[in-house]
Amino acid sequence: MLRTCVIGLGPIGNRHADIHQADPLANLVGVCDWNPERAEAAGKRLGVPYFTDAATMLKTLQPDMVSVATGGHEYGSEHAAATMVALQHGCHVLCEKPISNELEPARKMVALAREKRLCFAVNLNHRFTPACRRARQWLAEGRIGIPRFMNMAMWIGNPRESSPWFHFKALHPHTIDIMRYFCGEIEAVHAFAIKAPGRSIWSTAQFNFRFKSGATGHLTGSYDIMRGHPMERAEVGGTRGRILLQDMFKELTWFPHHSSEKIVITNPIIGGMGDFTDTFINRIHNFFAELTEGIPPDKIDGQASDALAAQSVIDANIRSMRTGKVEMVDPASWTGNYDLSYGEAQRASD
Amino acid sequence: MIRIAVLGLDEVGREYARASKRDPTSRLVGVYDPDRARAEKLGEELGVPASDHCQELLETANPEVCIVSPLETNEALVGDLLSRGIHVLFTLPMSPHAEEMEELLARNTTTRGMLAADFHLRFTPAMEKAREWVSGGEIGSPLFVNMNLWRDLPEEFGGNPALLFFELGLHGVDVIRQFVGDIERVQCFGVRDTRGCFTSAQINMMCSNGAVGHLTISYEMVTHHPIARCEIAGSRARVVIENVYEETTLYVHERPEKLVLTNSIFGGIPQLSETCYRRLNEFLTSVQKGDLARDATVVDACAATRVMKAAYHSAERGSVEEVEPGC
Ligand SMILES: NC(=O)c1ccc[n+]([C@@H]2O[C@H](COP(=O)([O-])OP(=O)(O)OC[C@H]3O[C@@H](n4cnc5c(N)ncnc54)[C@H](O)[C@@H]3O)[C@@H](O)[C@H]2O)c1
Repeated sequence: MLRTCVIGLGPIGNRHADIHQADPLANLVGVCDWNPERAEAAGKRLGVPYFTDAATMLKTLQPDMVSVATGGHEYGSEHAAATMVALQHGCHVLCEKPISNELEPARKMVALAREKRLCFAVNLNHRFTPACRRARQWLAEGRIGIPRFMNMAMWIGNPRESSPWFHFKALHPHTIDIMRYFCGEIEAVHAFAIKAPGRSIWSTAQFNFRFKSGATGHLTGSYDIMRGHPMERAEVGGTRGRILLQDMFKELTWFPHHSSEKIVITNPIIGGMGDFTDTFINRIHNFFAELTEGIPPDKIDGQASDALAAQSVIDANIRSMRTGKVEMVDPASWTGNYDLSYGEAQRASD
Repeated sequence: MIRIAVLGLDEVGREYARASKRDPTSRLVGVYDPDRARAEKLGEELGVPASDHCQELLETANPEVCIVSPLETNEALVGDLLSRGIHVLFTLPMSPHAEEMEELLARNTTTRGMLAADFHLRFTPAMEKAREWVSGGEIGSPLFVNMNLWRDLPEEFGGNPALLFFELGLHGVDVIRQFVGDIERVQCFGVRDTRGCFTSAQINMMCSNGAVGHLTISYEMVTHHPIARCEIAGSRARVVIENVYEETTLYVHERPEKLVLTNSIFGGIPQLSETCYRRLNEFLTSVQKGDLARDATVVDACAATRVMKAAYHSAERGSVEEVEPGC
């Protein structure tokens, strides 16, 4: 049983805490928020000790693992301090996205975890669904051959006007993680974005990518579309077919070139994914299972280094907005963690 | 009965020949293709004169309307037809050179012959409904438009590095332009085959109405699965057109229900080829009415060509390209 804590008790931190409590592999031992009212309310609701200082909590409770669900500017400026203190205390960390709103602190966080040989993961929860796993398995089996293009889209309604790059930095860790998960490292980018009427931030954007593999990618993102209708879509077209994943877990389709029959896997209403919260439950449980099994830090799924790689892609897009040009992604950010051979073995046997 | 000849019998040319044969207001009077076997095969299928000599066919068949599909002699031929007062509907790709298109367009205003572009993907109830929703303000202020269009490698591919842009691309841009108007700037990443010909491309667009756009085109897919998807989103709603005419959906952001128009098996569009028939019909109506201004597709073809020219250059140079302004 893992001893776990949560730092940051907004709506998302409370959700983490609930999930820790419900998970058979974890025992939530304490929660913390700078804000005494938030700390007290959560501590009482959950029936666990509560703190207003993270270091004090960590020293007192000596947890194995900490969820960092802080927020801050661009939804990410507070993550570094809380994560660093948890790592200093020898805890494995699952940090909310974006890993940080700036690259430099993110690099330091990843470096410290590496130095301490601790598991450091980021909550890129959107792909922790059976459908997304299956999609990747299909890609690995070579069912669509070599990927040629990927299209991804995601939107929510987020009326906050915090910073010009809020939408880029806070929403697209998710989508870029999925795009890297399917097609590998991104080499070059270009962005066109607009400020929707009445807004002061770049709230809707079209991102164009070239993957290192030579495949091309495209991402539509928006903070201008209220939730309710479909909000996420991912498709990869390759030399032998196309796959389409709708709404993270709702439906996965394989359109093979060789047949007019398509294969569709629809989320079942019994034993399937319930709603979006299940992506958190799956993601957090996955980390607990890895820690329980003792998976080494560089082998865990959804590593902070991959979140940093996604943030580097976002950074290149912001540069593209500033220069009006195609910009390269810093190759030092590449992890190679998601590399696939796309059915090499199968093709060889053809 | 309007006398129609089809010159150039690629896939689309053949569809137009079949459409002309079916059309009750017109008569297919002949087909031409430089490949004699191909011309004769279709002539036999449709029971019409076929020839591998263009001028000969024109003289004997004496058409009032010509459907011209990609031929090497395109510009000269179309110019000649127009000056003889023959109305021309041309299919894509016409010419990768916007200037030549523009020249034809200029000539068009000085001759009796009327010139129009194919763009058959437009002529579906699904597209009409989407246009109605978008222009009627249902979607609010436009935010983005995405269009996907793909198929297998066309039989006429022939190692033309830019065909993807000037065939599929033109159709795709035309659909996009119907919803957002002109495109100002583009950026493109492409995939090439071993000969250096583009087979897939992702094109980012800045539209002059303030929306951002994107087009995915590919010759690496198949036609027995969906080949197209278009989505237009605004501040109030999003519209999705699935597979050219199969389904149009309106998602109003604040309302949980969606409004769906599905192609009917009674009186709906039975096959993609039907869109050529409808397009031809529309053209013949304009011809009959003698109303040249009614069909502005050539202006749109010129604009779409300039967009694709910019996209092609962007893919080649790794640059972001301004779309040349039209005349
Ligand atoms: N994965 C997802 O799908 C998803 C969805 C929504 C939000 N998020 C992320 O979740 C995070 C939290 O979101 P929220 O809406 O709950 O934010 P929030 O701002 O309401 O809550 C953050 C809390 O952290 C506290 N805090 C910050 N630094 C602290 C520190 N060092 N010690 C103690 N307390 C500290 C603040 O006082 C605040 O109460 C954000 O980073 C956001 O990007 C993720």
